[in-house]
Amino acid sequence: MNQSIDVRGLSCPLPVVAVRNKLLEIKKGILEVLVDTGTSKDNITRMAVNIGWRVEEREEGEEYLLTISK
Amino acid sequence: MIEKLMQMTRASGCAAKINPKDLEGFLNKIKQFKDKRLLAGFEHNEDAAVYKLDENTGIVFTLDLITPIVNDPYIFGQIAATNSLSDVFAMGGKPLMALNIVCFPEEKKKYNLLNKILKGGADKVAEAGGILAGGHSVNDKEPKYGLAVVGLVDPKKVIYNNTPEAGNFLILTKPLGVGIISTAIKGEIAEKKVIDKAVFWMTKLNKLSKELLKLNIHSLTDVTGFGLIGHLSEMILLSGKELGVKVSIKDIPVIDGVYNYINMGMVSKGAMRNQKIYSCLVEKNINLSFEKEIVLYDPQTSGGLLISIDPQQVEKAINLLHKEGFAESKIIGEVIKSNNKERIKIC
Repeated sequence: MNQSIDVRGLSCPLPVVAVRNKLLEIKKGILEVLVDTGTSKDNITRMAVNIGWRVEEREEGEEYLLTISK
Repeated sequence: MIEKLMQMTRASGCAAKINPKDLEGFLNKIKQFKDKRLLAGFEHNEDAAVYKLDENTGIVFTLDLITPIVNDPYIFGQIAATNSLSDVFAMGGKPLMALNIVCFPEEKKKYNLLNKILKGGADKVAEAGGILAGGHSVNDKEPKYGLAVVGLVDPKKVIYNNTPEAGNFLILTKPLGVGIISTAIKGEIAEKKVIDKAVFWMTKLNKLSKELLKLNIHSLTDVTGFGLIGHLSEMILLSGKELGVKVSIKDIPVIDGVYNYINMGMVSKGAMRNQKIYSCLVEKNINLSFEKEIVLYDPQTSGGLLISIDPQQVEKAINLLHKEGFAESKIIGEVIKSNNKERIKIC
């Protein structure tokens, strides 16, 4: 089953820190992330790609759903 | 457990500024006070206001207030005061007197933090040669601290932020990256040696010696919330002349460890916003990786001075700066003639 994490409403840089901790914990698989700012979305994507994960992005209104996988 | 200072706030340091474009909109609606004694006011986004009292005496007046950028309250007080005092130095002045401005929650168990913040500020005012003469407080959930500072300057020797000349060399006196490091501190991933470096630079007063100020410095400003590119663009765009700058990316000093934090996602909203606003002025003549580019837009708190100086005196200036503890001062580029839209060339 896919794991998911909702980082909406958290102030910078807590969203990227929460996602990084989760990725380090699950090591592989799929993590869905719900995020509500462009800056956090970009930071999470950069961090995840840099530690070897793939990221797909879908815009949902003013929010983003990131599917991070390895 | 005592809450960490940075957990009490949302945005940190100079990254917490209001969007400069929005600010411009508000300021345009305010009456522009004209007075021949006002040598620097609203017009040029100057670092501080300057008022001429007589032929030999001018008052420099400035105010700055920031949210916590580190967790240690004594260090935060020092940084906030250094940042406030910097605007006086950036006009070529010397601080005389300062007043505290403090926002802090009225919670007795946190007063120990406030004591240390105020102690840090007072120590820096003393180091700068000024006196602390009072202050004002507001009960506020999110802590903020800064100073209003009055300084003195010879009206004939005021150094403006918008008076560079083509052919000038540009010196940056402190390395970039403190905004990113502050984000990494808040994210609790910053390493001690990187924090120590950032703290060292943020608590270093931008005080230049008399010898340095005697050199032919055409224009001077401090690099703060709008990042290096934002402050470079102010310097040339507000000059009213057809000027541009050419900066050499390999010569721009950056604190070790910053690129790593950028790759870990520690880029502040302020940096992204600065990039959005100012990147239209930039022409990139080389391939720039994301981390090398974004650091040029990183909001700096208590950042270095940007000095536009006669090329014949640049070597002397660098030697003096190194001697005065600005060991990472570098010549980062030069002022050129340009009427292009993209006036900031990165090589």
